[in-house]
Amino acid sequence: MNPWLEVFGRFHPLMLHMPIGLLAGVAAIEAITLLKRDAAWVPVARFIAVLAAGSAVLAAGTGYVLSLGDDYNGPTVELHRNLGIAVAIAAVLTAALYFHARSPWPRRIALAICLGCLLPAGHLGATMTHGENFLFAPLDPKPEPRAKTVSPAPATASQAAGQEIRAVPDAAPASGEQAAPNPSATHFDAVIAPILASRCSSCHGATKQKGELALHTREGILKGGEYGPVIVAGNVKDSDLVARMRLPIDDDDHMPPRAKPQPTAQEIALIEAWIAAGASFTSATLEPAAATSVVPLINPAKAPATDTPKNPEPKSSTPAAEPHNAENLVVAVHQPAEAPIAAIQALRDRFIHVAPIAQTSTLLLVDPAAVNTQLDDRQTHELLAPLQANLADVSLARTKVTDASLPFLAAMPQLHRLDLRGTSISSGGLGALKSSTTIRELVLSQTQLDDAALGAIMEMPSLRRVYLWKSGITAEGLDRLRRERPALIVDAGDRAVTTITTTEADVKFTSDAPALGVPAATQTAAASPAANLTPVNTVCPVSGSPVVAKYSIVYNGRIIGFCCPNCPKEFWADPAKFESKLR
Amino acid sequence: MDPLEEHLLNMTRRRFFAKSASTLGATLGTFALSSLITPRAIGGLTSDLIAPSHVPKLGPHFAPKAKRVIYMHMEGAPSQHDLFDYKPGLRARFNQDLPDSIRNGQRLTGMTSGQSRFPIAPSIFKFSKYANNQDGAWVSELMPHTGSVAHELCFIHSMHTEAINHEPGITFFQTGNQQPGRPSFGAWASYGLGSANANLPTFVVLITQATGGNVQALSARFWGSGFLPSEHQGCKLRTGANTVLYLRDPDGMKRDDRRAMLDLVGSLNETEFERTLDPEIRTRIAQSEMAYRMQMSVPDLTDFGDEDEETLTMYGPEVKKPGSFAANCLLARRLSERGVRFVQLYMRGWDQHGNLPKDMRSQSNAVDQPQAALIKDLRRRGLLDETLVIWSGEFGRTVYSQGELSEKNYGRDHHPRCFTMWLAGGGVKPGISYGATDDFSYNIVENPVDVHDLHATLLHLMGINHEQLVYRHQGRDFRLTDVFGKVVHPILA
Repeated sequence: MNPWLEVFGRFHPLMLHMPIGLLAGVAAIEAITLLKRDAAWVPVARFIAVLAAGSAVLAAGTGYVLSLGDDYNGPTVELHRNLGIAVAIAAVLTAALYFHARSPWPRRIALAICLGCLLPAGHLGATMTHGENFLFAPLDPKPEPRAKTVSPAPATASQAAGQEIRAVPDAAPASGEQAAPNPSATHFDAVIAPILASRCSSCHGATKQKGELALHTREGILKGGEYGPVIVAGNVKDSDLVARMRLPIDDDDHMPPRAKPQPTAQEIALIEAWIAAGASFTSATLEPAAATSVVPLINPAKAPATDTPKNPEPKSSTPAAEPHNAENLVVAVHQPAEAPIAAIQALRDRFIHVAPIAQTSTLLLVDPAAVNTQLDDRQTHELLAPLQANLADVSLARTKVTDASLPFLAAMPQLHRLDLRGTSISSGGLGALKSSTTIRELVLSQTQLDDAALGAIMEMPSLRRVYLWKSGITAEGLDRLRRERPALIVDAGDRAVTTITTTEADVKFTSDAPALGVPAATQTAAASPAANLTPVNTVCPVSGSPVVAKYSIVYNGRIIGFCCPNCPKEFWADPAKFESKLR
Repeated sequence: MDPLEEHLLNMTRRRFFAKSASTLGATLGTFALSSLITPRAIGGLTSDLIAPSHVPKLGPHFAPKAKRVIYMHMEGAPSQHDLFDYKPGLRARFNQDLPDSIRNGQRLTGMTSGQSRFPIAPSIFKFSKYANNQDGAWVSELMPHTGSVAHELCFIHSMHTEAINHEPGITFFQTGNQQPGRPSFGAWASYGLGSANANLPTFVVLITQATGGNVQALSARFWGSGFLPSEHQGCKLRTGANTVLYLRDPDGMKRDDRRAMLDLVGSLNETEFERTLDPEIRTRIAQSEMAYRMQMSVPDLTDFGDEDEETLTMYGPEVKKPGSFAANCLLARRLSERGVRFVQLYMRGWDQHGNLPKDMRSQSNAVDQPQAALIKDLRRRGLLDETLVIWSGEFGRTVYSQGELSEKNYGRDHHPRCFTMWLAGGGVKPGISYGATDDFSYNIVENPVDVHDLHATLLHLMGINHEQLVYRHQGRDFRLTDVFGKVVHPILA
């Protein structure tokens, strides 16, 4: 297309507002004329109608040119274009009828038709620019779906993903790609598609494909845009889809554009993790190999089970050899709703530390132990119960909590670290923790347990690391635990020290090593005055005269003496020739 | 209105908008006052409700591995040759000249630039190899206890810095810049993460005096807050009766009197705040309230009475001597246990220009057992995985001897091109060595790590993207890593 024509087309957003305003003016005067039966304003209306007709033709023309470009496609665009042309024709007709018809009614009918087309045309235009449901969104009580509220569970995923994902299942079968039986069950549909739908699709979606890029369908994502593919499976760096999100917001290539809603850091991290895992559209979860440097939020329930409880085979394992970075591998999207502010304030009023585990998370960490070791079961329950759904990391170390609190703690749905060090919990009470499927790290150091507690510890399904220093558990008990749950990291302070494998012999200093980068003939000078400089020979190998000690060189780690300063030069010319003459 | 007051008021308005996130959001949220301030400001969770959107949000950017840091700075720069960077080949190069191809024009300090030759001084100390998660770590006989926890340590042999003298060197390590004036690492951590214990400062400094020999100045600005709000500066705990200066009530003053005084001053301050809306006033009220609570929390902190005998023994014979490195290591553990984000330990006296064998022995003797005990103690209490322990000097020392070299005695000059530090816990890969130096421990041959990279990595472990932790000052956003720094991913667990 002629670039000037393209420029002309881009005047559409300016032009379109004129016929709207002018036609509204014509309609207003026509209404006055009709109600007051006063024709005084008709010449004004006629004048405005001419302007309206002219601007409507310009608006329709610019719009038509714009629609020829690559950025706009789809049924919405088509309907908008046709209605716009209809508005222009009806506006011209209205203006003409002001001049030619005697009765006011033909022009009024034309005006009504014109307005009838204008309203839907305008609405569709706004839909393209501002997105679906822009107008009534504030009335919608449901908050805008965000990735952090999306759960991998199919039932909630389809609700949370909401309407915005619907293009995906529609389009997928059409492409001939095998659609999953339940599309929401895939990680892509549950997690990635909603992010793309909310952050990208208004410009790269069904109605607009800026830069020839459409992100509302799988094949659109795979095809990429005018600059080529936007995702490279397994390679986050070369995937423009996220690389551009990671650019500084001021960068010209940053996406989404500065003025548009930006994805959160977590959303970007989720897309990165998905690409790193191979950008699969069909798998239900991310492959564990998808570990990215972005430390994701933890979803203990979905952790890969590396543990084999009650494995009768004794396997030797050192704590360091265990894959204890497993928590890196799982990208969690399972986040509870925000915790009640009042409950957080109640903790802070008591100076108890409570904080989200990260800015983007609704999971909480609470550490009463830092300030208040007097906390008892009743207070613990009172303060923590309202936050139960959000607590991921609870430290009750050195407090007065007892066994009575354990069932309450075990029932916390997101708890992954629990510190009970120095409390008076007992083996009997510990059984309550068996029901927790989320606790991965448990600190039981400095407690009054006994080997009876081992049963409960072994049966905790998600446990990966347990601290048992001074817990009352015997050495045999620890052995048994390590034997029967080899993947569990058991830290009891009994392996605190590593061993010496080699010790060098007594330190002796010499100057034997050949010097580097020093011309060989000058090496004598470099040798230490403390070192033994006595030549190995007594007769000059070149001349056969007696050796004078000050004319010595170092050759192959040996001091070789000569009779005069000239002989070493001859020696260096062909050392092998003279070597045999050393006496 | 009085022109001066009007000017000040303008300043405070501007500051109010610029700083309301850090002060109203975090400070008062975490230091929320029981008696004086209505609990309307809640940090962290709801900071986006009260903070303007252009101000960076506080709290970790992503889930951190390290909730807390214990940073042991060996002031004066210990010799890597005599502790951790094992170069057996040098034993056969005693008193040889350092080849020019190795020195390669490296600048010298004024202390050795006059020397006519640079004789190689191999380490006099015997090394042993300790099992770790790779093929073992060589540690000299000076630090047998530290060697015994080698399976927990991550040695970085390829640290390098730009500074060649102590002041700029320490300033660079502590603030990310050689010139004074920037906030220290601990202050950034306090600013970025907020407090986890309302009864204690977020950033605490503990100092141990040298065992003898050459001692360098230790400026208080090493733990200053620079342009960050002043509550983020390090609080130095002292030995003796006044652990924290001006904290103790004067003789004859009762705690109730103190309370009454604080209430009155607080209400006056509150009136002033309503007049000027200067958030620094509320910071001031909060700090006074915290000081009041510290009158209770600090004695509890420094009283080792609740430690069992076995633990005390582990830290070594000096543990009961206030201010010793042993006592400070134990104190560091107690601080970490209480949620204090950043504990900075200084051990002075590592500047061995001469008499190195004797002085290194006494210095190492003072730190070896306590620092290894700290690692072991944190580990068995379940704290090491979430506490990052850092051990470093401000630069390394030369392979050649400063002054006279003999079989029994030598000294070493400053050497910024390479040195060894170690990290433990807090999401660092345990039991590994990273980076390598040449046969003279003079140049790095593998995986160099500079100070900015280290800072970026440490912040990463604390859940902070070093490029996003910024503070606007004099018209631009400042970072700890300025415009540098790459996270060293291979050492992350």
